[in-house]
Amino acid sequence: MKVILRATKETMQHIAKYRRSLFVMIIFIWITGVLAPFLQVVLPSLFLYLIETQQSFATLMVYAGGISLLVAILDSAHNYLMQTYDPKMYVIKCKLTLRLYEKAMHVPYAQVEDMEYRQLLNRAQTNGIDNSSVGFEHFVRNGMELLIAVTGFFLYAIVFGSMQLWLCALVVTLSLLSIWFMSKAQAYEHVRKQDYAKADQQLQYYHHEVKLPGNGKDIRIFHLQDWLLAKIRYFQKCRVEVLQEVERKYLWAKWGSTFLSAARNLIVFAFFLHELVNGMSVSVFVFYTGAAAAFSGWISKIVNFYNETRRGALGIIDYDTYMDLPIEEEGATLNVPDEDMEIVFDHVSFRYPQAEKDTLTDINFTIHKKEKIGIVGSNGAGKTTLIKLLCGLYTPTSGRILINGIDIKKFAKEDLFTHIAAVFQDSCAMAYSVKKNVACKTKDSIDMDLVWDCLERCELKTKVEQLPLQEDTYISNQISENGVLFSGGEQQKLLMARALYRKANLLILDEPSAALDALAEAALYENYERAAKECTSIFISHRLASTRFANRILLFDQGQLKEMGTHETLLQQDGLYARMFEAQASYYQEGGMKHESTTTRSVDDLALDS
Amino acid sequence: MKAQLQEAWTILRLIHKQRPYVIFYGFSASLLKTITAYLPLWFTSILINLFLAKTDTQSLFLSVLLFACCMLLSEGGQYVLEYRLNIAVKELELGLEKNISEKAMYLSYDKLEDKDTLDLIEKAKAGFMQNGGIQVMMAQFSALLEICCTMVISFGLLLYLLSCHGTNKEGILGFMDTFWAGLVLLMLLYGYALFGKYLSKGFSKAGMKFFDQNAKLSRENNYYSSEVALNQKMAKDVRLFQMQDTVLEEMAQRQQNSLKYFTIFNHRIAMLFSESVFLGNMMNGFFYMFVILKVYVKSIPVGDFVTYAGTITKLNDAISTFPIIYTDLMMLFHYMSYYNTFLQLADQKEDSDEISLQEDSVITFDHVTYAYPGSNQPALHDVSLTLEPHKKTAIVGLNGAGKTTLIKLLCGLYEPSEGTIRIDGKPVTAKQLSALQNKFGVVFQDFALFAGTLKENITCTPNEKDEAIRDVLNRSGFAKRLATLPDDIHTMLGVQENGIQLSGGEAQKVAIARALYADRPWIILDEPTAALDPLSEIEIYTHLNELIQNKSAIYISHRMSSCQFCDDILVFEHGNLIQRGSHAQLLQQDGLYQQLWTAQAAYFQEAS
Repeated sequence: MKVILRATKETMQHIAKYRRSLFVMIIFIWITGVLAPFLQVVLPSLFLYLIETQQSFATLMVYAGGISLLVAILDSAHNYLMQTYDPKMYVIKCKLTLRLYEKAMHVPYAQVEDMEYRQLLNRAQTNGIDNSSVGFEHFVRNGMELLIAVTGFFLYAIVFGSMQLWLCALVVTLSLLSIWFMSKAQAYEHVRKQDYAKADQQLQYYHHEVKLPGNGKDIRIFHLQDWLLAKIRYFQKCRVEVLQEVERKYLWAKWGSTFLSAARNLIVFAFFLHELVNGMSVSVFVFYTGAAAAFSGWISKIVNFYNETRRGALGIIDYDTYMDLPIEEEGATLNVPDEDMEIVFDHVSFRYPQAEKDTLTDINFTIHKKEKIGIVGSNGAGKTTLIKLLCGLYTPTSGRILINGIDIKKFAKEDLFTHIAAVFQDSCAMAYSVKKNVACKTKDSIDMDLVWDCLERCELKTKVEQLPLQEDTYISNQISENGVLFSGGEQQKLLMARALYRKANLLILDEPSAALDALAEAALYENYERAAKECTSIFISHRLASTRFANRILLFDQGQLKEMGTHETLLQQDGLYARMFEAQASYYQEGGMKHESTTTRSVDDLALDS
Repeated sequence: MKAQLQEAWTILRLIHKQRPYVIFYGFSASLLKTITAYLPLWFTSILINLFLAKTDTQSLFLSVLLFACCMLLSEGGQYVLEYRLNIAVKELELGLEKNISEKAMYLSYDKLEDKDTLDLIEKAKAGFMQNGGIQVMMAQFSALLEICCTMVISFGLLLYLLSCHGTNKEGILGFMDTFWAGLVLLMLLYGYALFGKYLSKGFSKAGMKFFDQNAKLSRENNYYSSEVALNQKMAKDVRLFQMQDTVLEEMAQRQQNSLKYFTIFNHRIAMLFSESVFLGNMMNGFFYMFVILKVYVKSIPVGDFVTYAGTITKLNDAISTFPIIYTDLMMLFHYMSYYNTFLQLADQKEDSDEISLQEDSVITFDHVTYAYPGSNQPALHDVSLTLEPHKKTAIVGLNGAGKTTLIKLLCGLYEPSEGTIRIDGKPVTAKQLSALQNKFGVVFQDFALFAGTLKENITCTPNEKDEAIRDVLNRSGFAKRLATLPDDIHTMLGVQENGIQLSGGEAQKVAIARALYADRPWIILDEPTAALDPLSEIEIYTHLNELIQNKSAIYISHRMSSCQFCDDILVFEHGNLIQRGSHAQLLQQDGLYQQLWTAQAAYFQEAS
């Protein structure tokens, strides 16, 4: 009950904010919804009364015509309103949806990967806004029907109460009992929801994965169909089992309800029959028995609509729970000055929540203004984590990061981001227009001159000029008919244009060349070298080829900064870097690589990511 | 109209096939529900008539008891059937979804990559998922059955009513008591039903239009929400580049368009519906007048008034909602027809032949050309080559040169647009493609592992021996990581809560282990070390050579370094095979290979 009240409050706030006219509609729907059925019950007994009192045929016809007209108007008005309030609700739902996505995109990055957070988000989405049978829309629709049913119920209760208070009380008690039965069944369902959800989640995963073209190759090559189908069947069976148990509880509840309503009918009819035999007129008899039948109708409606309203309310609350999550950290208000960046890592350590050990341990280094740094190390060494810390996506577990002498925690994150341009391994073009991809701004805020300038510097200008809609062409085959797909190399250029548009003080490239062929890779590094002349930049790669562009190299291994220096000094040190370089270089030497056991043994010693 | 019914019949048969009895449950439940609704009316009439006929009190009370018992039976039975129905509907829904996934897994691969097929899959899914899914469809179906039962019963009662005559035949009243007057009323009723038909046409036309317009918009918004706004991988870029407003702008625009269409559709429906309700209520009025007349001239006993009054209301409700529910249901059936279309697509399950590819077999490409559907430029152009067994072959070239296409043709995922692929001289037929797919152990660049235990991911079936699994894991360099796994080879991999997330390199090793375990005559590795660091890379290549030994192997790699391990190198450019030879030979030629090699080698020669 509390749930519904809270949801009502929320709903009224939303309606007041976005579509006030909905209030008026709701009130009219309410009134017409109660009156129309009531009139329909009154009609038969009214006519019987008229016949009993020997009214003329003409009088009867007038009454019949008049009341029918009245009912016709009320009923059709009710239906019209019930239909036309849909778009208004849709508007509100759209706004709520956008707010959800806005929030999801602004939540601190560290939270995005958190399991609990994702569950909250999932629930907010699935139960709150996913379609018209959940959340806000569902709540309003059913809430209104509930309101009508409750009003009707009380109306009839008063009617009975005027006749015999005890009868009314009896009927109400029996009704409450049957509602109680249903609520037990519902409570059981609520408990089993977890099991539902788990099975559904698994099924969703498998159904989604097997349709992806990317996965389709392996499925066919390794004949995975039987295995995957077995998994699907298994989870389907689980799902049905849970349903059976829940439905069984409902069946018992409904039978209890049936029994109670049969008892009620028995009592009501017996009582009124007794009255009839003792002199009550037939028309009054018909009225009361008709009202009794309608009464039970209202009750089952109340039960039904109460359930559904509650479900909608829970969805609204899931939505609210998510929306109430905090965004900005306290005290971070400083703006980053627009100058070259000097970055200092001061005893920085980082551990993922729920991880057993640090991903990065006691990192210390300084990057000077306009310096070009290469970061190398094997997978899992912590390179990408380092970058995320640098960008402000994560916060160090201990130690500090200083940008031009100021602790990074003091800066407003959103502002910090505007000074950094990063291209990650999994970055790609988005399904909107070329110009939006480059500028990452809404239509009206794009500086087209700058966009063309960046495209030209990335050797993409000619290509874009030749597209069907030039800079307004969508990069996607999913969204618009005139959309185009860029090749891997063209995407890289686009990403670079995007990075350049920022005019950032810090440029970061994380393994951008993994998927490129040799010539494209060479071109890429050359282009970035040109672009990076203007600011501090960091290239990350586990292929040492990129390090030729670096002033200094930082070598990471298992979360620690192991070696640091220029390419030459590191080679001289004859440490890990030297070994890795030699391993790669040996391929390209005359005579090629020798598959000797010496190499293998030192590999085992140093093998980092197994 | 006829086509619609045809379609409905097909869908009903499909439903019945997928889950027998579900329609029976629906029908019986509806029937009982209708009866339950009529019982109070009947009994009230009977009671009144008995009372007016001065029956003794005891019999009257007995009939009340009878009434209560009938309600119990009827409603109780209804609930049992509904219980059965609910479970059957869920099983139906799950079964349909399984069918789609199963079909998707057995389709010929090139169809799966085709945008039209993907669209069809979306539509097939939307077919029974949209607008509340199959639950709603069956609920509407039950509602329709209920309406039909009501209409049949009501109509029967009304006909009976019309056949009742009083004794007084004088005047206007006398006339209106006759059958002919009743006929006029029936004509009115018929007219009203015709209006219902017009209504349903308008409703369905508007509905179809809206569905099509909206489907596109909601698909696009789904893309933005699942691939961008809520996507974990994109989260970094979204924040760093502050794409939030851009994305929201795109979505808001689509929402506005959707709202526009919706408002138009909705307005039309609202008008149609409320017109129908108004007229229905007026019809109600006419009928009332008629029944009152009959009572007034004593054609029927007073008690029956209650039944007929109630019947009129029910009939009116039924007639006014019939068009809406009927059209809604037809629309739902129409969406389902996409599902049907999808299921009719040919697949590889039923129609395949075996193929004989041994360890010593020679594979030949005979003027093979392949163009992607919808593309006018072939990805591979007139390629002829022979692949000898027990050799290691490398395939190199720039992006888009056709390397992966070649591989996909080789392992039977595609069928050549022109030319033939031969095994030991015998051409490979279309029916043999799926068998061919099982002859290669492949590790694609975008390989896929699925949620399941490590063991299942390697053996690809449950219940296999552990020894062989450990062996291949060892050989692919995964041994060290295996020691750190909580449940050894029974560790769950996956995206769900209890699954372990492997790093890119670790996953690649598992994929390699899977290919090795399959123990096929040919092994193909597409960029097998892309995600690995230099030292792991050497480890793989060294060990791979040991374990491949006599098998036939093909590597694709951008690292020219991997060519060192190979006996033979194929160089592709723009879909053509332009160079072929050993590393030493190709280095001497003044072509693309030399260019690629020099570009990479330069880094190391300059610096060292």
